Amino acid sequence: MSIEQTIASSVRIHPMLAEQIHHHQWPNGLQLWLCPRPGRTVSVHLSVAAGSLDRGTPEQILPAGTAHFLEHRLFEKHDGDLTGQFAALGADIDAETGFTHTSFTCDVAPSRMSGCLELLARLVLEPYFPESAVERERDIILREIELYEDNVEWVAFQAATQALYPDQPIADDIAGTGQSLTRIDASALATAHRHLYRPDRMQLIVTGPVDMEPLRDTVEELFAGLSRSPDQSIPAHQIAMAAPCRIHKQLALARPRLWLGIADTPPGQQSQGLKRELHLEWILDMLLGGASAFFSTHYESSLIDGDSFGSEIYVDESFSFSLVGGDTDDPMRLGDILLQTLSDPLTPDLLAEDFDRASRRAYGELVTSFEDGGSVQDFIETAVLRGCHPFDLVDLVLNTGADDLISTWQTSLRDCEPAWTVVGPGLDVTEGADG
Amino acid sequence: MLLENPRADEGISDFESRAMHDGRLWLHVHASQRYKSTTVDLFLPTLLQPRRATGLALIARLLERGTQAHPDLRALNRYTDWLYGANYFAATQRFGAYQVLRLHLAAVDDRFLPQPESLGLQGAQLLSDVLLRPHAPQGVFGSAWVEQERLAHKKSIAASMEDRSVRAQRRCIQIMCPNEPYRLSADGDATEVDLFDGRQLTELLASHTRQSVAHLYVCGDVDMAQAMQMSELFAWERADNLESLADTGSASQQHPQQVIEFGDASQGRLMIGHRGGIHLGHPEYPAFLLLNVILGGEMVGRLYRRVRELEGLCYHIASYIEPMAGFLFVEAGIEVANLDRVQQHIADELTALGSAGPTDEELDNARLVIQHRLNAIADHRDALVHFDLQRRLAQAQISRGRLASILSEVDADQIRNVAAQLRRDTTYLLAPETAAEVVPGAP
Repeated sequence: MSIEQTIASSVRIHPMLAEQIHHHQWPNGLQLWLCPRPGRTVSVHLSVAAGSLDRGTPEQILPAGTAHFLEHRLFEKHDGDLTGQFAALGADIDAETGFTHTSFTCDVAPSRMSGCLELLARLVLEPYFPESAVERERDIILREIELYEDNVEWVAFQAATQALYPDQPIADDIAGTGQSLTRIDASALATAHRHLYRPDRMQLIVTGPVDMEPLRDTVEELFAGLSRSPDQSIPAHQIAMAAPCRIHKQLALARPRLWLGIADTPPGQQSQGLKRELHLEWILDMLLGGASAFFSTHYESSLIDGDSFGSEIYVDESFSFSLVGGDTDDPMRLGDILLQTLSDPLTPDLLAEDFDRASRRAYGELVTSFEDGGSVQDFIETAVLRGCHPFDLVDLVLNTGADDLISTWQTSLRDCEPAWTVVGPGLDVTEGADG
Repeated sequence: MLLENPRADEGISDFESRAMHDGRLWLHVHASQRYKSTTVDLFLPTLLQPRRATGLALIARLLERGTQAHPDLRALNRYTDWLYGANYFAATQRFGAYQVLRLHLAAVDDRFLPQPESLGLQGAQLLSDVLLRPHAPQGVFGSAWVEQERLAHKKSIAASMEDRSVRAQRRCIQIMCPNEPYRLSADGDATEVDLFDGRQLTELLASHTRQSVAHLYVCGDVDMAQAMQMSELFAWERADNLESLADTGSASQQHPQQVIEFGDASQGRLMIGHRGGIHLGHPEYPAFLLLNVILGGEMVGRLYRRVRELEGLCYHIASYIEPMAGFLFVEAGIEVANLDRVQQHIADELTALGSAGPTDEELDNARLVIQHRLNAIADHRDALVHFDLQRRLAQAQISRGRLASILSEVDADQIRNVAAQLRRDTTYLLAPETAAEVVPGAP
């Protein structure tokens, strides 16, 4: 492919933020995003649409945990482990697998960026899965799963997805299970790699002291010769259908942790998902955040604490849910109060009256999202994985009004039927929603 | 290209520093337009001491509750939101043998606001109010707040120990250093929390501020004159004799010890503490830094390659340095049945490095990794401040550029010497209760 065949190339400047973002998309679908900024480090982040939910391929249904297994195995090549070669560049490399994506992040000195990109290209494009190494990796991943079995954050998150979506793929551990791991072999990894690690499923996000032109040339040399996915495309993720129930998960803790899970109809269109995620973040902060009456009242009564209490929001095309809660001596009481607060009929008045304060806070958070390379990268990724230009997300924040929040509250929170998850001492119990 | 200060000039500090208030407050300014906000950090250090450490940790919590102008939690949080979501916190942090009471504020620069509001100065004023004009009815912290924070702090300490890796780290250093300040946590001790009432905490805060040599770091789009204006907000009456911060140094364990404790853990958490006496100011410290990467740097170290990748004995294994004490720790998540094998691999690799030293490739890679990390510190204000304050407290000031230059001259022999000096002191294992039958001497 040559540069003349480019599908799209643009540079946009945001005067308020004094930032610019370059974008380039090749005919094979690969996208490159660059936010140039001063500094001594270039951060290269490659996001591949290969997550734990990507189980269906035209050839086979992949076992749970395949995407994560693949992430582990990509580092070893026929000439050794690439980690050492990253180290030889003085680079730090990290990898992570989520529901919908696997990402590889590398921080490196500007003078060594090209070498780093070469290694990153080898990392994701050269499959090498000898059976003996796959066997060994299975043991390592089993130990990884075991390591997280007493991690309250992870146990509570897993239990919350099971309480929201019992027996659905989204409730499976991203790393898989002991049983599913036995079914992941070299053939499954090769199938997953063939179908998921395609240029049209990749977005490269770069921040740091870099010029677009040489960067684009380097990326083109490494990636642009690849062809698009074959016609047989990967099926869309199965829509997560909430069937909220109550789960008590045993873990030795001084104080139980409550997560109230609130599922919503998946937004379908990604840009709608982005809007909903933004609105929910804003609403939950206004109703439950540090400046809310809820927070001060229940902090002072010691029902909640300032360290663990909070909310998390997960929205994609095929799922949409929020988790609210934290550590508490009385999970049932906290859950009841949270539900009362979230469905309070006076909420529209509160959202309107308190909007100026929340708006100033959101403005400040937006500006500081562009503070350093890591936060810029997160911001860009949040937008582009939902098919949106990062500066459109900026404008979305700036143009949000109280009416938007009230509308989202009415559709997503007012009449919610939550899933209850309590992690703490006691036996493992699962009950139906009205059990 | 957008490189700012293309190379870390040897000997050039990241901060312009000035002694204020007769040397009782040091102002350190990092002026740069690369950020979107200005940060103001006030540090009040002291040597870690039993009971006092707990009191200061409680005080940090109370300083997040309100000021005379913003007299409750909600009013304070609403005010920081109004400052365009300014980030404020108070905390105690540990730097080796020191505990530091830290007040932090980050506020968006005028350049990015619809109209100028001087948020940095307003933020500095808030920190001054928090410290010097806290909400203390009748001159002492109110009993209701104290009661709430005592309870919250005990629960917070208990929650932090529920992270099994943190618990293993904490227990290992407690056992390793029974008579040294390193055993103490910046959070204090849960059993001491109820020893404090409002009056005692108010008096402790007053004595701590009077006796400490404070460090005020201002980073962002500010010049020295503006920062000095901020520093005037931190003028208070100081004691005639300021606290001496001389570290008592580390004592040596005569014989290696091994302690196994059982708990509700899914996997064994192994910690091995080594002493070598090579702390921040030691001439061999750069070689110690390199040794740590070569031995247990995550994904590049010998332990990762041998114990995880070749032997498949664990998912996580790494080493890290406690730089102000000169300790090296190795931590791993293991099956208890593999304890001896993992320990032997760790001992073998250290012995090998102490006899044969690293390969040229290992040394070159480790040097590049650390030099890159030293350079990357410039991209993160918090890391810059930490680097500078840590070395000031250790009285081992050196610029990043100078350290990078020394690193480039370290040879394999120096690393071999450092490895040979390390002595295993304490092996600690937090073992799952279900593994009792495979551990010799278990109940």
